[in-house]
Amino acid sequence: MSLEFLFSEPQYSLRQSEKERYLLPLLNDLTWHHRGASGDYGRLLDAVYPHTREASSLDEIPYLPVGLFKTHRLLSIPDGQIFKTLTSSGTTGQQVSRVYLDSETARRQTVALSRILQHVLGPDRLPMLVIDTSTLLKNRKEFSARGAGVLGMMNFGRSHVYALDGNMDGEMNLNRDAVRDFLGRFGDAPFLMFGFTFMVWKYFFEPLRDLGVDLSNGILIHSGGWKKLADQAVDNATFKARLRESTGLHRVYNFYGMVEQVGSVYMEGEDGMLYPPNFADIVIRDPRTWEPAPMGQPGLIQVLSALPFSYPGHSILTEDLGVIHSVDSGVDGRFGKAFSVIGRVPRSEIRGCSDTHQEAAVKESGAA
Amino acid sequence: MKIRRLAPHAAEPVPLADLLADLRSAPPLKPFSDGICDLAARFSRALFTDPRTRRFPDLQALAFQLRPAGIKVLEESFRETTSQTLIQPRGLVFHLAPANVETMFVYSWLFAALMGNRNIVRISDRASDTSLLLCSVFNDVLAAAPDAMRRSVAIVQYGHEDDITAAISEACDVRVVWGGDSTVRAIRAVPLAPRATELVFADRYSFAILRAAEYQKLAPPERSALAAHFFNDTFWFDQAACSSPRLVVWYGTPEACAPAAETFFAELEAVIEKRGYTSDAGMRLERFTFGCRAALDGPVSHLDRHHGNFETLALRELTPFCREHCGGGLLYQFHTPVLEPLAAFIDRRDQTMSYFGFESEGLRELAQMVSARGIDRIVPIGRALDFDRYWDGYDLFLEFSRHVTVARTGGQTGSAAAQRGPSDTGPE
Repeated sequence: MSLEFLFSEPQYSLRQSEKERYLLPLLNDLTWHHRGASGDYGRLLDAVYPHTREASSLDEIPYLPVGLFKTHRLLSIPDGQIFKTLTSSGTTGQQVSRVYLDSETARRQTVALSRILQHVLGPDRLPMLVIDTSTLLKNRKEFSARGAGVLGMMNFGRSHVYALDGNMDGEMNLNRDAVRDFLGRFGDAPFLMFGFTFMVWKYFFEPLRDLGVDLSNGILIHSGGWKKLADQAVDNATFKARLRESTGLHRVYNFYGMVEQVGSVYMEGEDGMLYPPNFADIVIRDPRTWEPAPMGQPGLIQVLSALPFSYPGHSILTEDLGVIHSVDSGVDGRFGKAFSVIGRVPRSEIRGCSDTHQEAAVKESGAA
Repeated sequence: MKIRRLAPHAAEPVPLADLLADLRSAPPLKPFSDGICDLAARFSRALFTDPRTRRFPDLQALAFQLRPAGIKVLEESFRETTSQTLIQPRGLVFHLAPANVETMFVYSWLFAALMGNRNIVRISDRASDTSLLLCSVFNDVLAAAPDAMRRSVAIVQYGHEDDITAAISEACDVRVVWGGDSTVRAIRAVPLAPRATELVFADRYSFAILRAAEYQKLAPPERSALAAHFFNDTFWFDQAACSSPRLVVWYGTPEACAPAAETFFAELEAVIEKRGYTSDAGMRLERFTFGCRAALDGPVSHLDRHHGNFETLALRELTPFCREHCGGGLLYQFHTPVLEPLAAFIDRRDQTMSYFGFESEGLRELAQMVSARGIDRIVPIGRALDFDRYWDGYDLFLEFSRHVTVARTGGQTGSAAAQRGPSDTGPE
C-alpha cells in the first residue's frame, strides 16, 4: 500500500494491526532508501544495528536519537536538491536541529498536515485569528521555527488577523481592537485560532479573560509544550477548563510534533488524548532496557513517520517521556494508539569533570 | 564580605577577614603531629560507624584511608623520602574542591593537614548531599577535637563570588585547584600572593588494559571478582572521576580478544544488575546519543548497548582518538595484538592505566612502553580510585611542605636533596 493510500483514507480510521500492516513496508523501504542514499546513516546502521534486516514489526525499525540532528548534517539527497532547510527553535547559544527537505518531502508534509487538520476543521478554510504578531514573519531570512509553524498553519485559514502586537525586543501585547474587530466580522460562525501554548495563555487568554468576549464558535489549535505553563501549575485540563469558563471556547486541540518530523503531528482528540495519523506512529521505550514498554508504562517516545524521504528521520527517539493509554479505543471514531506526553526527560544530573566546568562557563557568560 | 562556614559549623555567615585571620594565627603544627593523626582516627571511626555514611562504599574507602594504620603507611612513606631536610608546613592551603568526586576534598585536606598546614576548603554551593553529609560528620568530629585542631581548618561554601576567591587567594600560601580545564583557567586568572604556590588538576583521561589470554585462564569466580573491581573503578563516581577508565584495551590475538571481551562485559552487566546500579533516563539517552555521534565521527565499528546497562564502542583504530566523553557508563574498546598503537595513542592528558594480566617483566615492559609521553599511574584493576601522595605527577607531601636546609658549621652539608628548592621538586 502506498503513502497516498494512507493520506486518502480517513485519518484515525485504521485499527492498529491494519495500520501496522500498511506502515511497516513503507518504513522498511525508507530504512533501505536512507541506508543507500546517506553515507552517515549507513555507517550508523552498521555500527548500531549490525544485524538489521527487514523489520517485522514497528518496534524493530532502527531509530536515531533526536540529538543527532543538532550536531550532524544528515541528508539522503544531493545538496542541489535541497528545497528548504528547517531549524528548530532554540534560545541563543543553544544548538538547533537542522532538517533538509527536497520538494517531495515538503509536498508530503503539506498534504499530511492538511489531512490532519481537515479532520478537525472540515473542508473549508475558516477565518483565522493568529495568536502571534505580524512582526514574526518580517524577517524572512532568519525564519524561526515559530514563524515556520505559524506560516504553515496560515495555509489552513483565510482573512488572517494577528491578535498580538509585538516589537523587535520580543515584547508582546494583546491587540484588543484587532480581536474585537475580528470577532465582530467572523465571531458568529466557526473560525480558527492558532498559536503556541504558552503565548496563547499569557498574551491572549490572561488579558482577555475578564473582557467578556465570546469565542464559542472558535476552534483553537495550539502546540509548543507545557513546560512554561507547568511552572504556573497549568496543565491541559486546566487550560481547557479556564478557556471554556471565560470565553465559551470548547473546541481546543493541542498537538505534539517536532521539526524533525514536520507534517506528522499528533493531534488531540475529544478525549484529550493524542492520536497518531495514519502515516505515523509511536513506540514507547523503557529507558532502562530500550525495549518497548507495555501500555500504561511511561517511557521515551519514539516517533515513526512515512514522510521523511530527503533525510533519515523516519524513526527518531525523542527526548520526551510519554505513555500509551489505550489502543483502538474507538472514542469519537479514533483508532490506533492514544497517548499523552509527560514532558521532557530531566537532564541528567551526572557529575562530570565538566561540572565545575559549567560553573565556570556560567560565570563567564554571566559576566559578559 | 561574609561566608558560610560548614565546619566548624557557624550558624550565621562569618566575616571572611576574621576567618582568614583566625586561620593564619592558629598555632603551627608539625608534620604527622599527634593532633592531626588523632583527628583522622576519629573521623575514620565516625565514618565507619555513622549509619548515614556506612552504606556508601566511597565513604568507607575514605574511612579506611583515615584509620591509624592508613595514616601510618603514609607517614612511613613520607619519612623514607624526607630524611635529609627539616620539614615545615607551608602555612595556609586553599582547596577548591571538585564537584564530581565528593570525597576528594577530604583527601586534599588530609595530605595538606598531615604536613601541618592550616586549611580552608571551598565546596560548591551546588554541592551534593554526600558532600554535605561528609561536612556534617567532619563537623561533629571537629567539635570534639582540641582547640588547636579546630582552629586549623575551615570548610566554606560559596558560589561564583570572585571577590571571595580573590581574598582567600591573596591570604593563602598554596592554592589547590580541582575541577578540570575550565576551572583551572578561570581560577588561574585570580592572582596569588607572590610567594604562594599552586597545584592544579586539569581534565585527565584514564583507561584499562587487559591481556586476553590471561583473562581466558581465569576461573569463573575470578572473572566475577575482576568485573566487580572494574565496576568499582568505573561506576563509583558515575565514571566522572578522572582515574575511572573510559577505554578498555584488549591485548592479544583477535581469537583471544573477542571471546574475552564478550565474557568480561557480560560479567560486568551481571555486577551492575546485582549491585542495582542505575543511571537516569537522561543519562542513558545522552550516552546513546554520544555513542551515535562517535560512530558518525570516528572509527567506531560497533556500538553495543548491553541491555541498557552501559554502552561499549568498538574502535577500528586507536588514533586519531577524541578523548571527549559523556561519562555515566560508556566504554570504548580496542583489540590489539601489539602494544605499539597504544604507545602512539598516549598523551599528556592520560593519567591512570589500570591493568590485568601483566606481571613483573611484562609489567615493566608495558610501563616503559606507554609512559614516555603521559600516564602518571599504573595500577591493577580495582585500584584506579585509590588516592595516593603521588597524584597527577605531584608529590603532595612535597608540595604541601617547606624543606629547610640546615647546614652545620665548618663542613659541607653534602646531600643534594637538602639543597633542592621547592620549585624543582616533583616530576614534571
